[in-house]
Amino acid sequence: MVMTDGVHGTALGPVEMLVLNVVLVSFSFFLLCRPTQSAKREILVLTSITLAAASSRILLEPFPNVQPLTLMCLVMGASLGARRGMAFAVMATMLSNIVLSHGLWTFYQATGWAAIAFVGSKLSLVHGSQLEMKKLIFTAAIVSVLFDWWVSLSALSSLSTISDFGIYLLNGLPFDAIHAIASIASAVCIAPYLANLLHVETATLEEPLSIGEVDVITA
Amino acid sequence: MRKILVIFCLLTCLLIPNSAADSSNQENWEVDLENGYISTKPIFVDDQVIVRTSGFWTGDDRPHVYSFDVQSGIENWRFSNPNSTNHDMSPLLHISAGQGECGTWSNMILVAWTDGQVTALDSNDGGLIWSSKTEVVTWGITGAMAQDGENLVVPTRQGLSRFCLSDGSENLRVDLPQLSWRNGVTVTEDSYLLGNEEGVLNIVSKDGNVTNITLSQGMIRHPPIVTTAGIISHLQTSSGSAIYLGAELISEEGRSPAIPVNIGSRVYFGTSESVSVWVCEIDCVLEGRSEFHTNGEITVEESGDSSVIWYPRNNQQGGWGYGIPGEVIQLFSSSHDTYTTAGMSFGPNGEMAFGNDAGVLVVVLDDENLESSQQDESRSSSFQAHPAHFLMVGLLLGIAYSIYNSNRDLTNKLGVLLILVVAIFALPFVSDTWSKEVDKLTENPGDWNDDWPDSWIGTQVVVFELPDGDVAIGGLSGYDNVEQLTDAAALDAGVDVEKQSYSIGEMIVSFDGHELEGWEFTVDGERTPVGISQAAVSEDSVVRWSAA
Repeated sequence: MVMTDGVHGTALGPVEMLVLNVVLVSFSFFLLCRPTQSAKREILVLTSITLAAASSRILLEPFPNVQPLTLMCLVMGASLGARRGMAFAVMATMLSNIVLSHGLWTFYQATGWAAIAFVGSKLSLVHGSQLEMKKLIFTAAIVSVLFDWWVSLSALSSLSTISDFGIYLLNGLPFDAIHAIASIASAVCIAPYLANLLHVETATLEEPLSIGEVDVITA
Repeated sequence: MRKILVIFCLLTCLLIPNSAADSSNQENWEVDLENGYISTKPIFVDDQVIVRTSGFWTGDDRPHVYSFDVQSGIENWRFSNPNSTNHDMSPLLHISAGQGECGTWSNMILVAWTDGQVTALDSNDGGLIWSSKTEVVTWGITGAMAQDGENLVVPTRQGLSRFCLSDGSENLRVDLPQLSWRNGVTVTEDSYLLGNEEGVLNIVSKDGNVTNITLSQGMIRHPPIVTTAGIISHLQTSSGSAIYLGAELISEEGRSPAIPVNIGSRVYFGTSESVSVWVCEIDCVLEGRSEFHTNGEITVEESGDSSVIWYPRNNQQGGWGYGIPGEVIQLFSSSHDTYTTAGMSFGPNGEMAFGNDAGVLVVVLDDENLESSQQDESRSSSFQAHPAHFLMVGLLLGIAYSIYNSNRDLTNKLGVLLILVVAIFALPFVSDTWSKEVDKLTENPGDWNDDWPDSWIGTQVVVFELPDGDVAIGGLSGYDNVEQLTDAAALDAGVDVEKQSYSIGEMIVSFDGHELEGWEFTVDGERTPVGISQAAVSEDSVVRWSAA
C-alpha cells in the first residue's frame, strides 16, 4: 500500500522510528558536547538559527524542493565549523520533519545536510563576514543536486532494479534543478546576512574572557 | 554541557511520541489494486470499504473483490472468481442481516460476475456463504442487483432470476428474448423493471408474468426509475440518447448516457455532452442543465438537509464533477485522474472513496487536504490570473527600478528570485513533459517472435491465438489504432471478425466464430487501459489477440 502523504520511500514502524530518532539526537549531542565550553550566546544563536531553518522548511513546503536549509548548512558549516554545522543540520531536519512527516528519509536528509555542512566547513566559503560568493553559488548548486540523489536512495528499497533507480533519478532532474536554483537564490539573498549575523554574534566569543585574577594582573 | 544535555532530553521527549504514533492516523490512503479497472463505486460497510475490479488483468490474475479497513487501509480480505470473463461491472450490494420465510441470513456482500455467478460473501471475512449460477451469453451479469425483502433480484444476461438470501436457492426465473448489458433491475411494490439492448422495458410481476413496453431502437443500460409521473428510461441510441417517460419521448440528449439517479421527484441525467435535472411529478419538466462529460454512475452525497450530486468524468482528464445542473459544475481531481465511470462513494462519517480506470482505490478520511480544483470546464481554456503572475510582474518592476537606480546588488537578488519564481511556476509542465520523455527510455518487453521473417521487423504485426493454432500477419504499416490494424490483418489472414458497439467503444465478439470467454489484446506485450478504437499502435507494434 502506498500512502498518499508519504512518498519518499519505506515508512518505518514505531520501534524503528524510535531507534532512528535516538540515533540522530545522540549524533547531535555528540557533535555539540565538544568543545566543552559553550557560551550562552552561542547556544542562543545556534538554537535560533536552527528554529528559523526548520521553520523555513515548513513554510516553504508548498514549493517543490525549495530548500534554503541547503545553503544555510553550507554557511553554518563554514562559519561555525564542522561539528556545529552538522549538529545544526541534523536538528533542523528532525524538527521540521516532525511537521513534514518522519520516516527513513529523515536519516538520508539529516546525513545529507550534515555532509553539506561538513563540505562547507572545508571549503573556506566565509572569511570573517565576507563570502566567497562565486564559490558559494557554485558549491550550493552542486551540493543541492548531490543531496537530492543521496536522499533518493531512501526510495531504493521500493524499486526493483538499479536501472529503475536511474529512471527514478532522471525523472527527478527538474526538481533537482529547482533545488539548485533555490539554493543559488538563497546564496544571493540570504547568505550575506546569515554570514554577517554569525560573524557578529560569534566574533566576540573568540576573544579571551576577562575574569578573576587575570583581570587584576592585566588591569 | 548541562544545557546541551537539557536540549538533548527535550528533543528526545519531543520525538518519542512521534515515534510511537499509530500509523493508522492518516488523513487519506490509497492502494493500487493492479488487476483491473474500478468501474463501479466502492461501498462502505461498517468499518470497511469494499471495492471490486474488472478488466485488464494479466496472466492468471483475475478480477477481485477487496475489503480494506477504512481508517488504516489495511486489507481485511479479498475474493477472486477464477472463471470471470471481461467487464465485471455489476455494482457490489451490501445486505444487512435479516430473516424471512426462506430462512435467515447474516451481513453479506452480494457480487455478480460475468461468468453468470452470484456469490454471497461474509462481509466480515470474505468467506463464501453461497453461490448460484445464471446463464452466460458471451457475458453473464453486468447490471445492478436489488434486494426485495428476503430475496435477491438479479438482472441476468437474458432474463431475470430471484434467489432466497439465506441459501441462494432460485425461487423465480424469467427468460426474456432480448440480451442485456448493465441493465440494472428496479424493485417496485408488485413488479421488477428491467430494460435490455433492444429498447424494451420489461415489467415482470413478482409471480413471473411479463409485460413490456417497446420504447425505441436503443439500449436501456440502467435500472429504470420510478416517479409519480411514470417510469423513466434513458436509452442509448445510434445518434445519441433519448429520455422516455413511460412510452413517451420527452427529450433527445447526447451520446453515451450515464446511469441516472433520483432524489424524490428530481431525476439527474448525464451524457457525454451535459448533465441535467428534471422534476417529475405529474409530468417531467427540465429544471437545469450544465455542460459536462459523464457516462458512468451518478451518485449522491447527503449533506445535512441538502444533497450534492457527483458525476464521474469519463475522458482522459478524468476526475469527478459535482454540483446541480443549471449551475457551475465544480471539478474534483486526484493524482490518478483518467477515464472514470465509477461513482464517488461516501461513508457515514464523511469519508470518501473513489477509483477509476487506473485501478487505484483512494480513501479520504479528512477532505481538508484534498487536491481539489474548483474549475468551471468552460473557463479552463482561458487565461486565469495566478498569484505568481503578480509576483513576477512585481519582481520585473523591482528589477527595472533597481537598474534605474544602478543598484546592482538589488538587481541580482531580484533577478535570481524572478528565475526561481518562473522555474517553480513552470515546473508542473516541465516535469510532466520530462517524465514522458523519460518514460520512453523504459524498456518495453516487446512481443517479437524470432521465428517470424526478418521482413516483418519494423512493421506492424498482428497475432490471433485461435483455438486451432496461432495466426500471425506481419508487414503491415500505416495503421493508427488496434481496431484498424486488427481489421486489416484479419482481412489478410481470412479471419472473420465479429464486433459489437458498447458505450465503452467497439469490442471484439469473436474471431472466426470463436467467442470463447471473450477476447483481449496486448500491444507490444502490454495491456492498455483503453479500448481497441483508442489504443494507439506505432509502426513496429505487435498486437496479440488471445482468449480471456
